[in-house]
Amino acid sequence: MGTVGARGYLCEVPRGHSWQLRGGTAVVASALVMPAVTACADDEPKPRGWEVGLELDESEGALLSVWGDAADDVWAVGGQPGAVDAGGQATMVHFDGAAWSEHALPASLGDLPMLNWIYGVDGQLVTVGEGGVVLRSASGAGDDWTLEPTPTDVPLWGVWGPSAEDLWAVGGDATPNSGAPALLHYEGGSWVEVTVPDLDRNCDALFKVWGAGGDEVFAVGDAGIILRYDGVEWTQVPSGVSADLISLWGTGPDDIVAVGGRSNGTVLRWDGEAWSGDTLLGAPGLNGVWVGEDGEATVVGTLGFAARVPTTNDYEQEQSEAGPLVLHAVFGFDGGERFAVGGTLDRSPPLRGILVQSL
Amino acid sequence: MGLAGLVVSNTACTDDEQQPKLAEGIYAPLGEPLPDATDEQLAAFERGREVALKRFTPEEGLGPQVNVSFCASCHESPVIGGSAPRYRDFFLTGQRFDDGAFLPIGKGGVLTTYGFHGAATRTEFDASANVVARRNAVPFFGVGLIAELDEKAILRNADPDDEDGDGISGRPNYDRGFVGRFGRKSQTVSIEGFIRGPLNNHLGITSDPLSEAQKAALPVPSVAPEDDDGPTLRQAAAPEEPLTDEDGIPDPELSSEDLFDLVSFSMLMAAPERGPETAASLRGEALFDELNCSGCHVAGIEGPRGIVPLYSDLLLHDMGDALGDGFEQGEAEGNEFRTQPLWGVAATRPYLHDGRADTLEAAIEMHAGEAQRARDAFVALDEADQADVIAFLESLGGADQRSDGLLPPDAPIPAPGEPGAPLPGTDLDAWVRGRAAFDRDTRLAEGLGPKFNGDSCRACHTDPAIGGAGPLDLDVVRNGTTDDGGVFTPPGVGTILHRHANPGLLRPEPEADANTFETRQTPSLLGLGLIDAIDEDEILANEDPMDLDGDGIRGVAHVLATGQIGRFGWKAQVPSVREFVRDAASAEMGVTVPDEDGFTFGVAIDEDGVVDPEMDTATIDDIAFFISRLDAPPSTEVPGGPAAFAAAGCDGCHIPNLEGPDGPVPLYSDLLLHQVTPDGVWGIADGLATTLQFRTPPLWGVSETPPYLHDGSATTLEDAILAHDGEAAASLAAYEALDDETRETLLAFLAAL
Repeated sequence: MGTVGARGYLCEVPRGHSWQLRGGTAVVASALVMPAVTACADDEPKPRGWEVGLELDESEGALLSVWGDAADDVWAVGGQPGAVDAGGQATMVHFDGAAWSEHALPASLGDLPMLNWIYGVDGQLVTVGEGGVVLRSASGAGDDWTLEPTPTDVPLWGVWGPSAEDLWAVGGDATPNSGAPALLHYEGGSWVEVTVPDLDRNCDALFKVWGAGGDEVFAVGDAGIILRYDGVEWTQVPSGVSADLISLWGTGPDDIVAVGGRSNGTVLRWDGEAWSGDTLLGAPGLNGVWVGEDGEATVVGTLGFAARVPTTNDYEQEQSEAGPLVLHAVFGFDGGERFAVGGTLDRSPPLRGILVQSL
Repeated sequence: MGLAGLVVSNTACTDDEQQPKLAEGIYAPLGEPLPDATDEQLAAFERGREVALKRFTPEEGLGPQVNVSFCASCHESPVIGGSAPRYRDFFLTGQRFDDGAFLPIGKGGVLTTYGFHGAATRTEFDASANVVARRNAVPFFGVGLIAELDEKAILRNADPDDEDGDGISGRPNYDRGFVGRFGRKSQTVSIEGFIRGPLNNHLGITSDPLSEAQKAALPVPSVAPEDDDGPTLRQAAAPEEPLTDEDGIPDPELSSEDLFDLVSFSMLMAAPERGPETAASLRGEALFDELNCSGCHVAGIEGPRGIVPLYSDLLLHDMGDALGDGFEQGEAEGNEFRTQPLWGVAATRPYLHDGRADTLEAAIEMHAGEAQRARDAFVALDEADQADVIAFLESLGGADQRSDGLLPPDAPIPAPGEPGAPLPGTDLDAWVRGRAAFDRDTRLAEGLGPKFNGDSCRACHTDPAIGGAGPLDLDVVRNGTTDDGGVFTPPGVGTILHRHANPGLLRPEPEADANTFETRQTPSLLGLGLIDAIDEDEILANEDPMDLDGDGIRGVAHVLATGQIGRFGWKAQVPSVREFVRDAASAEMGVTVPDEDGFTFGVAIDEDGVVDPEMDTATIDDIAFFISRLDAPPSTEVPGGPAAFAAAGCDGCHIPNLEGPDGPVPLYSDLLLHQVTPDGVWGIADGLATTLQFRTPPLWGVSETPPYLHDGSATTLEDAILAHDGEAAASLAAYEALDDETRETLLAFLAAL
């Protein structure tokens, strides 16, 4: 693992587009807006670009998820895909506010497959991965990881919950027509399978889950599937799109952002009543989203794409040193640091990984 | 406006700016590389062309679901890199939901035909599909020049709100955030994407995106520089095609080197060379502008080499409900299509996205939506003016390479000893006339369909020469129902389950209770006239239905309802060349044939609205003559080969010679039915030929006609030998007992037949 040393901010306005969401109508900007590259004077605020913070080689793999309790306590997970006897492996790294370091998982847990998502709540850490793997660190310090049995062996792509005792995990084999998605609930001290409601289209995997509370939870998946949990049952809610939805994040029950799209970026917003939005013209497929308290979303995707999407649904592309690698997830702290992770996820393994940060 | 005066439409040039010039040095005959290609690029072009022609096998990753087995299958007309006749059309399916979302079904919506690696032999139609579209292949001529275009140059022609009030409101499609330019709906931005997508969707061949280093070496700049805001970043877009599939073959199935060559081949393909101007074409060009055809088919777009005269704005236009297919791709709605480039249009029929138009005139008349005004203005012209417009379109390149089928104009006659050569002493004028009829693509107006597998005889019979066998991806699918007792019942309309139906119709699907599907390889027709002439008694002499000689081989002639002995087809179900022509015309092309005394095969009436019979007696005469006068495949001697062949007992069924009127016919077949499949296999019965019986296929020329066996399940000759069972079980055992040297001699002998 090679940690890239601190670099000066790049004093150019990034190649950017100023587009609007299509919003269901044929709104097309008349021409590309290409801001000129300008030098930044000493008294100008530093531009918000993304610098490489960490590069992982094939021995460690790609990074798929990043989350932190504080800017000096950030975790990222990933690894190599596939079964552990075929090269699959887990990777975990930690940021202490000054530097990233590899975080070794206990050998007692045996060989672990790729970890796809990490989340923290109630001072605990939970990470999920391929093969239905769930790990929990009750201390939240990553020094007491334990494997939790789950009733599935399909990849788990996301985990979230309002408390450490009330967690949802989602997943599924994303291969087309491979089967039903996985929807798991941690309740009463164990993981149980929850029946996925009837869907109006084929769905092989749910990719992420996020909620504003125990009775307002959403999960997104392939083919534009969005599920909503009201504290009693899960139901499908209209998304208006068929693009794969990869991730979601929000600030409350009336402000949630979902992103996806394999070719063109898709951004949807939940206003408490319905999902709306559409293609983010000019943006490639999106994989990750984090929303600050001001409602501004940071989205990341293929080709190292990163952008800010304020509530107006305009977007501003940010300069990113991640291109042409794929960014898969993003997380940040209000008014401060943001981290995005990914790697060579658009090609066959062994994968390489990258972490970029906007500090 | 002549070629020299052609200017780009809607450029931002002001009077004091220099008008951009027409790009130079970009033209060549269809299928040729750019004239300024470097030696290194030319080498990549040639390698890429070979990749385009490579027939993938299941062992190499073909599948699990496919439409075709090689790239050039859909890009063959009039030369490699072009488009394809209707027999290579394909269907797209999707589902529209109550919330307005549209979801393509399967891989990008592509409805495949064949399954391998355990997948269903015939891919099932997804019952949830409520949108079905059809596509004819698009040509690749000049695509590298289109790739070079700055997206800003494309966007200059966009007028999404029709602010100029001309009724035309082109808008861009997007792919990975960049302005799309390839595909019927401009749904793809990069050539790499336009290759990786079909490789995956139509062939089931996985690939990894090109590396940055490879992109940097491509003929079209394809790496985003640090300060990029120019024309290159769009080509850096690598599509997110699946990296894996479910066929068990290690991924990626196409090497990055082959993908690089394939992309290079496409990028280097020159723009169609424009034909000579004539008085008619010049008048037609003026009318083209006057009618405002150029409102969408803009004469050119400015690129880094100058104006690229593709006659397209590459934008999406609403073409009306009649042309609309409901299929969404990217930002393109169901009624929207990219303006199809017109360079080389003379040589790339049929026309329109689904190939519904036989001619350019018909294509124009089918325009609607934003093109309604231009269409109406064209229809209002007198015939002479309409002809001038067509003359102009045909002057845009390709006219001198146009073919009624795939044979190029003035195609040579194969010399004696070459595959596909005529028999010595053949009337060559009649043979060439028959070959042309055999090669000719049947148009809708001539009676193609309503259901068909091929739109010409040549469509399926092309390996290794016209009249030969066919690739795996042109297998005929037969089907029926097998009950619990193993009894086969054919469908009410015959066992062939066609791949195609005419534009506007859905793909033919099996009856609800069909549970038995079998693919059939296209047999070679080389030497068929020699077999046709063999006396029936000569065939009957080898029968041994009760295995009286105790060799385990029975062999029974297929006596047809007419009392004739069948000798052609996998079930020996056809008695003569002429009956074969009648049968194939109707069963494979949907072309009706006339009543002829003494002949019973073929269909006299169909429901396509074209007057029956759709093929006349003279055409049947021509085609039958061509087939009958195809010489046997050439062979060479292999010392020890016949002995090895006999040692394995192959000659028990594959009898080296049958006596013909002019001497021995070395076909290596007894033309009898044998059971060589394992007991219990479900199959298709045909007449008196049971589900497990197949005619001994002739082996002459066998090395040139892979894959093997009736269903193409054997990629190599040895695979085919090892798959023998039943009456051939003893022969298989004998083969396996041969020493290595004898076995190699036997395989060499077969390869040399």
